[in-house]
Amino acid sequence: MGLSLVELSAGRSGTVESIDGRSNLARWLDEKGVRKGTLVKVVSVPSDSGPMTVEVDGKEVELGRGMADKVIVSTSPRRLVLVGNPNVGKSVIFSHLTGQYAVASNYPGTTVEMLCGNGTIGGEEFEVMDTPGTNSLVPMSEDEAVTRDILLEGADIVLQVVDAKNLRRSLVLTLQLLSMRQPVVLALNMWDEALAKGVSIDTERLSQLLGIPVVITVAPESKGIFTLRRRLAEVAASDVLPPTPDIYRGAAGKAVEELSELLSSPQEAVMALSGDATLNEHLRKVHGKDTMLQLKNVRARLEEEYTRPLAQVFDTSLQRKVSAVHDQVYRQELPSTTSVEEQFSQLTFSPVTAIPILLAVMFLVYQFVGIVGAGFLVDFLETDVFDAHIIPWLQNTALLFVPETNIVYDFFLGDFGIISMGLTYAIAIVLPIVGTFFITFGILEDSGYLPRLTIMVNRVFREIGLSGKAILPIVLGFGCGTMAVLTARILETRKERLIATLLIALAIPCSAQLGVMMGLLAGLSTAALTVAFVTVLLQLIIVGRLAAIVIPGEDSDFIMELPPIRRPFLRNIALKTWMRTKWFLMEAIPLFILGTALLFVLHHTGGLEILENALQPVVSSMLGLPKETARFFLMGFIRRDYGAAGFLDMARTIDPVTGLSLLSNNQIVVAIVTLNLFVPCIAAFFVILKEQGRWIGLAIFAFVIIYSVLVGSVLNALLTLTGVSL
Amino acid sequence: MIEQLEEVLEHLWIKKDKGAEVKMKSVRDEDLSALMDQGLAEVVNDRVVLTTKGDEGGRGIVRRHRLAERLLHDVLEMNDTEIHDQACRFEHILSPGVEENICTLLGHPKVCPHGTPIPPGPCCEERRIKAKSIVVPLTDLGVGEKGIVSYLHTKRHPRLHKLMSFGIVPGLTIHVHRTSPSLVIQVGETTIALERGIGEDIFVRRKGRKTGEE
Repeated sequence: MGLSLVELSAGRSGTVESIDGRSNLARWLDEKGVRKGTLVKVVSVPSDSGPMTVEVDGKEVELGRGMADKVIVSTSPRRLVLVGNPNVGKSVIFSHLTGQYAVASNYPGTTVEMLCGNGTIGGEEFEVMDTPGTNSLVPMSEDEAVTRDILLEGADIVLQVVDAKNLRRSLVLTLQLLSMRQPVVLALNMWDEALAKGVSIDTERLSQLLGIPVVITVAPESKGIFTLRRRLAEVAASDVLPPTPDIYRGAAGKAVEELSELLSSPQEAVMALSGDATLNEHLRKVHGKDTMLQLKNVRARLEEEYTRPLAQVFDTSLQRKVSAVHDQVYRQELPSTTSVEEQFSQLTFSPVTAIPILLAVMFLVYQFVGIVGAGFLVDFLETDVFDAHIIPWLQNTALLFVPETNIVYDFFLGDFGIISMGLTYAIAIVLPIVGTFFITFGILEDSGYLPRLTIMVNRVFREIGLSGKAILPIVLGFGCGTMAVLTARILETRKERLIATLLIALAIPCSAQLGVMMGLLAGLSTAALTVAFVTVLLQLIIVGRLAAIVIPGEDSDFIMELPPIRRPFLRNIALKTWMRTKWFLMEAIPLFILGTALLFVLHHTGGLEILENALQPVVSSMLGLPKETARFFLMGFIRRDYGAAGFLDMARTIDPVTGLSLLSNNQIVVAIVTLNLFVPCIAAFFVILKEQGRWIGLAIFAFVIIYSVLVGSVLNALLTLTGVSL
Repeated sequence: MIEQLEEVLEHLWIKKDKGAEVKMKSVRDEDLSALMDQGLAEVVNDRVVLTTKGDEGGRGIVRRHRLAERLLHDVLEMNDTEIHDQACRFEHILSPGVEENICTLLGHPKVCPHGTPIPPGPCCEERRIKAKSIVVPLTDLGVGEKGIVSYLHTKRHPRLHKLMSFGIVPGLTIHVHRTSPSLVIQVGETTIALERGIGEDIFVRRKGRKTGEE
């Protein structure tokens, strides 16, 4: 975008594209360092029409307006960074500003990746960034370091989103931002909830005390967004930074003051003195060796002076300042009535009602996903829609043009046809199950119920090397393993992320697979069900327990914020389910087609038979299954549920001679257990490679294959030896 | 022992506790000779080293100083500068009996308000507390009880930082909703679930009694 330099306001910069006008002007500018390709930053623009000051190569140059008008620059959009504590509504505000959908949920820490979008503020195009929830700029986790690094890189506006009823906690961040000399705008979000809790905040006084604009918003209802945009535009147009708050006192305060002249802000001095090692590289790069040395001296001197860690000294001062501001503006009167949500919230963690509520929730989930999704919808789509109408119609139509022996016909509509097998399977069986699961999961997530589960499971999860926080990836694993592996990022330590990934890959069946397996188990005895379930659960415990011991690294503290129970917004749930289902289909359908095509090729080239023979020792001798089932394990490589569907088909087939199913009940149980523990789908595998690194990913893959076959073999041997017939 | 000598002994003990050495010339001659006369310190290789007797004496003074700080901070709610001045005087006048009583009353605190450890006394070692102490770990509170955060004591700074960033800071009221299998507490408008192990690091002053209303 070609702009003239005079059009830029103070603080903005642009790269020189060309210089209009006579050549002696170009020569004069060249002497000053202003030439094509250089970066020019506008330092100040006087309000009269006097010359503007710009910075080039670290030097300040004065340029007359007429001259500046001839310099054409290209600018990259300025940057608006959204920050805030976890679960305060940043993602919803992001959507408002950019018109782009960010997955918002009532679960702290769901934004694990930075989101970028474009939005217009005050007629100017801005790059808008949504950051992971942050409690403090002295980072304690990878997420928090991400936010800090973005701010160090430079932001043109920082919009801090605040949960109004939790003002105190947010002020920690606000004061740090101001201490970092950032142009901050405060959005007091969730104002409705604050009102319901009897909270009142003197926003005018707050704005005055901090010297920044304060706007009241209720983001999901779009309230206050208009005013927010206007304030943002005002800040964008101004080049005055808010005042730097006076926070630190005594020797620590003096040291911060001294260092902030060398570094870029008091906050940077605090971060450096707190001994935040992740910052050192940045400091060395930007400020050089001498400054680092001086920093070291000041730190040594201070450490001498205080008996407790410096980070703690700073924390205490900051908290004192926070209280001073907070107590002047925040009032709370006990509301006369507690809202329904609030009452329910209390019930969800009260010792008496928590378990009954959990059981009720599980029952409802089962009813919806198991009965409505996997039962009714699958039956309807598979039998009534695909088998009764779509496939026969397609086959009949095709047969008008080609004979049944035609290879193209066979490829699309034959036994291993892409449409008759692959697509039917994806849409008629997997989609309803996954869809209903995502709806349920969305409701659980947005209602704020999920985090409450962490209270119950923390102790159990500790036994397998995880903390209660792992409930989110694990539960999501029952929906889609690939997504679950991605979500494992919210776990704090590398060890926990690795264990969670391993367990998801090994023992947690995704909803599609679960649906198919339910079908397989439907006709079996309770004993068979119990054996299958207990065997898998046992592996989860054994492997988790061993992994917790074998894998090096630290456990994290379990401290988890429980968000309030909220009535989920229908629109958000619908949007979220749609996004997730779309994501799932985009990922799954190509794999179904690929898998079917692969089988088709193998079938026609005789490769299938070779493979089945090669695998026979494992499949027949160790697992005690018919040798043709080797193909289901091959399919299982592509998608576990795909393999399970093969078994389902075989179990339903009745041998015309014996009048029995092709698979005995014992065989079905062994098959289910082995396949459940078998590798997850290829997509999940790729994500594991990406998240955990190539070697660890491959190790997980190899372990899971060997382990699943081993467990299946042992189970088979035990059943054979004891002569039990399930 | 005169106050001046006690101050020197206190200083020497803190240095020793930190693992630092004290050069002979940094202690005034008359103090040094007084210390040596009483068998509290000796000089080894130009360094002043405390004897067993001196170590016990210094430790006692530091313990009284930091206990006094706790008392002034937790019960009388004085501010930092007041605390320091007053505690400096307290350390010289507290008798061993009074010292034990204060320690028991405060619930055998582990650290002073600044976070430095208080050397434990005999009363802490046999922690059979008969009197209901005022300042207790959060885990001692039952469902429905409230406590005001007195101090946080943890060796792991990340944990401390995290607790503070969730709003668990001295002076704020914690409401206990649930104690098992995990703690569920409320601070301000934030509800937090945490492990009991972490709750043991949060020390609170009991507030009111258990009521059936909430």
